[in-house]
Amino acid sequence: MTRPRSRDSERLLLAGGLLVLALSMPPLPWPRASFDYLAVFDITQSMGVADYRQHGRPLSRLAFARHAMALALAELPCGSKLGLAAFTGYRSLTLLAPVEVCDHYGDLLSTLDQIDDRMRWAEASEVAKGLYWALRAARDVGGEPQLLFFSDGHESPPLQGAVPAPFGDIRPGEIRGLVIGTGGDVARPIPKQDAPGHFSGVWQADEVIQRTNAVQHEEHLSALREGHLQALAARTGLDYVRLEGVAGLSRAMRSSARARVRDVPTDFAWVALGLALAMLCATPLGTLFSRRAGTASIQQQA
Amino acid sequence: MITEVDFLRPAWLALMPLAILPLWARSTEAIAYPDVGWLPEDRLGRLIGLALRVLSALAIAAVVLALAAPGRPQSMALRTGRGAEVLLLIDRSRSMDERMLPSDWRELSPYDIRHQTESRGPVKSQAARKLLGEFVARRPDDRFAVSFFSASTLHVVPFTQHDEVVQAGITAGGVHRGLSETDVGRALISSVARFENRAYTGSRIILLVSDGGARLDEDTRLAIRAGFERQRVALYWIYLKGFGRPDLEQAGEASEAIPEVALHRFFETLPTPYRAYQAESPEDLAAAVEDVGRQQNHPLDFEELIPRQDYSRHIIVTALLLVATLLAAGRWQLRSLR
Repeated sequence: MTRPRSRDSERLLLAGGLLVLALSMPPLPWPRASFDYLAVFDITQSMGVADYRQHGRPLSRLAFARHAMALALAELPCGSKLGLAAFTGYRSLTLLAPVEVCDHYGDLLSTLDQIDDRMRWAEASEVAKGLYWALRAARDVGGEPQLLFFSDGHESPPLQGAVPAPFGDIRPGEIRGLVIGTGGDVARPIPKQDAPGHFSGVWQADEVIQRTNAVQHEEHLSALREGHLQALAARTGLDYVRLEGVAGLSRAMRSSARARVRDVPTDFAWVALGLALAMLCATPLGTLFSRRAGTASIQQQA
Repeated sequence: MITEVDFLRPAWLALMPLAILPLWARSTEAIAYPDVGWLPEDRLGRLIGLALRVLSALAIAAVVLALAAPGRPQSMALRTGRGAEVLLLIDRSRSMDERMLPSDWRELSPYDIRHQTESRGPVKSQAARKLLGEFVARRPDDRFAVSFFSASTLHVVPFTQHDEVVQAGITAGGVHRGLSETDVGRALISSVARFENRAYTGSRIILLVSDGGARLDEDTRLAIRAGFERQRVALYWIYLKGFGRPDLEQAGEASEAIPEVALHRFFETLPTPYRAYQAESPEDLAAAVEDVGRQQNHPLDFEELIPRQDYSRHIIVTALLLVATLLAAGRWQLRSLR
């Protein structure tokens, strides 16, 4: 008669011990995958072409890239880091060194939100050099982030010969990351801005530098120059993805190949709590099952 | 006050039905006895039994609740402290990559100074970043924003309480060399506009860190003056005076032609407080930063972010007390049975 009771109180004692453990347990370092990125956004005028759509409304390349980044940011595991930079003219400029994404989610969103035309400090769009500068930025900003380079690949002035070679201090494959092709396949007119934020029509064929040897003069129109970006990516040891939807970017960013495993202080109190719960439920469950089996019914009545 | 509760791991709440197990076990027991009429009635015993079952049900419920980790979500509270809203407006032009006088410049012969400065003086932008970083770290009550300027103004970090983000903005300013042009007029106009639509909370400062001046046209001057007056922003200019660069206090009509002096004289006409600090060496710069810190310690109403408060520990303690009660009751029952 005392046997099941003493077993009950053993379980209770164990449950109590597990609860004490849950209370006293410090967070333990546990290896977890996280992702560190420096995201560089092309802020040249061709990124103002609205060839994306969101909720049925046209959205510019830059706005869509920012939108996709903001959503992907929310899906990065805590412990990941994101830094931000912008490209225009011939170089990329670091705006924010990488910071942890969960603690600083709100700040990252508000900085991201400000990366737009108003920042543009130069009007050219030398994408190849911009990418090389972006690689330098990822290398020198500290914390060894991987690179995310959002661009439509539209070079202005157009490349008249070969693609410029990477800077001597950049070794292909040293910095890993993604070139993210942003834009559509159809060449569209580029909204013209007199001053940042002031739009006046679109660029005309005779207002931009055209290719000297081209049959058709189309440098005033802009489509995603995927071939150019893919070649640049291959040359610098980066991977290429095309920005089509929000989910795709987030998935590419969380690919296990890009993960960095670091020990993150992790709370394991739930394990002790779960075991304590099992101990507490074992007694009534045991009663139920033994009742089903039709044994030990008299014992319980005592 | 309405207290909201959120859960870190709400999925665990699905286990809540487990809490009826102890009660259910009792009712199954009742079914197992179709006829209890022959037993003497033991109301007290039955009550105690019921109470113990309720206690174990509560214990299970408490552990499930603790697993779901309830807490009060992050919230804002209005507080009054001392401090300011400071916008750091940092020059990112190429000249900021030049060097300042080395610390021991007073001991150098006049012939050596130029050479020594160019070879081993600290780089202006680096020295400024280091000191600004320390300044920010020492002033947890202030709100900071970080903006850079060259030909355009790059507003990087909007006003925030998060020291780490401000530091990341300052750090980013040191990655690679600066840009070629500067437009301090435009930078000031767009920076002062950053205070628009923010509740006026006490003291507002733009801390301009730059090494050059500019002769501003009349429209720009008007726009700057209007902006500073409307937003009630004080201006502090830390002028990183390079070797052989003009002194801001140079007297005379002719020195109006010097961009730095012209800018300084214009700033002096602003309707809001203005101070200039000329920093030639890192020591001057440190003194200037120190002085800015002393100037601005007015009461400031601000919203403080109160982090999420987790209630799990309280609930675990409750569960522990329940388990202890059950244990004690079990012992007492056993003893009374013997």
